[in-house]
Amino acid sequence: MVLATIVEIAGTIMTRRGHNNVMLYNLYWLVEFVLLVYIARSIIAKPPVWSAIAIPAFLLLWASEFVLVWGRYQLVIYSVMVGAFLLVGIYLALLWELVNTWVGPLHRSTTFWLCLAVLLYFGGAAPVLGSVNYFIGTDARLAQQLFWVVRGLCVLKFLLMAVMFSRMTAPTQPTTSP
Amino acid sequence: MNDPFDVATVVIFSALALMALMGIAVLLLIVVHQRRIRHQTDVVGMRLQHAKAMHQVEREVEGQTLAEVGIELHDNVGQLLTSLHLEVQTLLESDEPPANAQGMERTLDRAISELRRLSKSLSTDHLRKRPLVDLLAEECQRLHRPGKREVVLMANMKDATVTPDQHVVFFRIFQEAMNNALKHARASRITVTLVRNGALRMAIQDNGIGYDIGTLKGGGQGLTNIRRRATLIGATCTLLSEPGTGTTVIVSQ
Repeated sequence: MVLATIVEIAGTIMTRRGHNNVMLYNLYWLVEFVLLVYIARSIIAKPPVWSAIAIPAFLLLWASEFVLVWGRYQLVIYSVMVGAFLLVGIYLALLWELVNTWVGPLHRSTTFWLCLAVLLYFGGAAPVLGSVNYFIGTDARLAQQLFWVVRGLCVLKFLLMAVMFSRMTAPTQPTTSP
Repeated sequence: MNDPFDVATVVIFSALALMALMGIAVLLLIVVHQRRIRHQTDVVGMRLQHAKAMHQVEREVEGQTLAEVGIELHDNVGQLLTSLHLEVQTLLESDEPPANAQGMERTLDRAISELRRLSKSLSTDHLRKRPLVDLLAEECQRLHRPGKREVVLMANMKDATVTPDQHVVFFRIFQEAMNNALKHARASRITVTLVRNGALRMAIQDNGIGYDIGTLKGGGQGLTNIRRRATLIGATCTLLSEPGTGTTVIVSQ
């Protein structure tokens, strides 16, 4: 959340000074992806087998696309879409594991709120972010309006994460092996 | 579909559809979680019920076995002793009774009365007919030897509050603890306390040789029996002992 705030501030400053901030978001996307994968892998006991191949493949895709769009100031849309679906898959696996190990109501688990935030944000944002380059090229105003969808999803994501942080202080129940 | 507005509509609907899909997935997982919890609760309940049933069967089998041993003692050994008693009496009524015949008769009388008492104490039905306090008081009185061994009972409860299971198990634990105190601990003073203060609580304290709980492997057969019997009715059993300071057995339910 702190990192996201710093990036948003930096992005606004860049725009006001007449610089294109797309590359900043391209880099931030990689950082956000790696952080979310790291968090999921530190919680999940049995990471999905496919993720061992899919994550390096994604990193390769991002690097290739980043080089490709360099100088064109375009969003790495393929990496965004593939990464978003990868995160959805990983967090669904994490939620599945939680469902099978958590004792007590799910809403008392911090992991549940984290999963909800990731699933709803990346599930909803993937089509919008994936079509950003098209809209910027055809109708910049429409692209700006579509960005409100992403902003709305961002608010939802951070609200759910705030709930997650509030659950950290509440008494938690231990998980048991089946 | 070249119009950007049409594409935007498709994009927004796709986003909404994917979010709805995620929502449905989360809801389904919540349902799966609730079912798992319900299933686990059912399994725990069934296990508890099974354990209860097993304990009940164990209690019944133990009660029946003891009752059968009691009947066998009364009918077989008791009859033999009674026949022997009659023969001793015939000897005593003869013209020249042996010198030790009277002593033999006295010993036989004691043996017969001890056997009857033992036979009765093994019968669970017999135990249940009498209040627990009375049973303990009778046993304490029997084991009390003025000047040699002091056995004291302190009770402040009404027996009506004791369940049939507590009745039998508490009495058997008392018998086992008394046996330990007299046979192994060589105690000269035993204090039995029975109180009902919410829970039924019985403490048997002796001034015998005591033992080191940490080094006593397996706890000895007597102590194992005490613990096992307490477990049968879900009572807690605490053993306090140190070499030279006596032993206290506390059973509470």
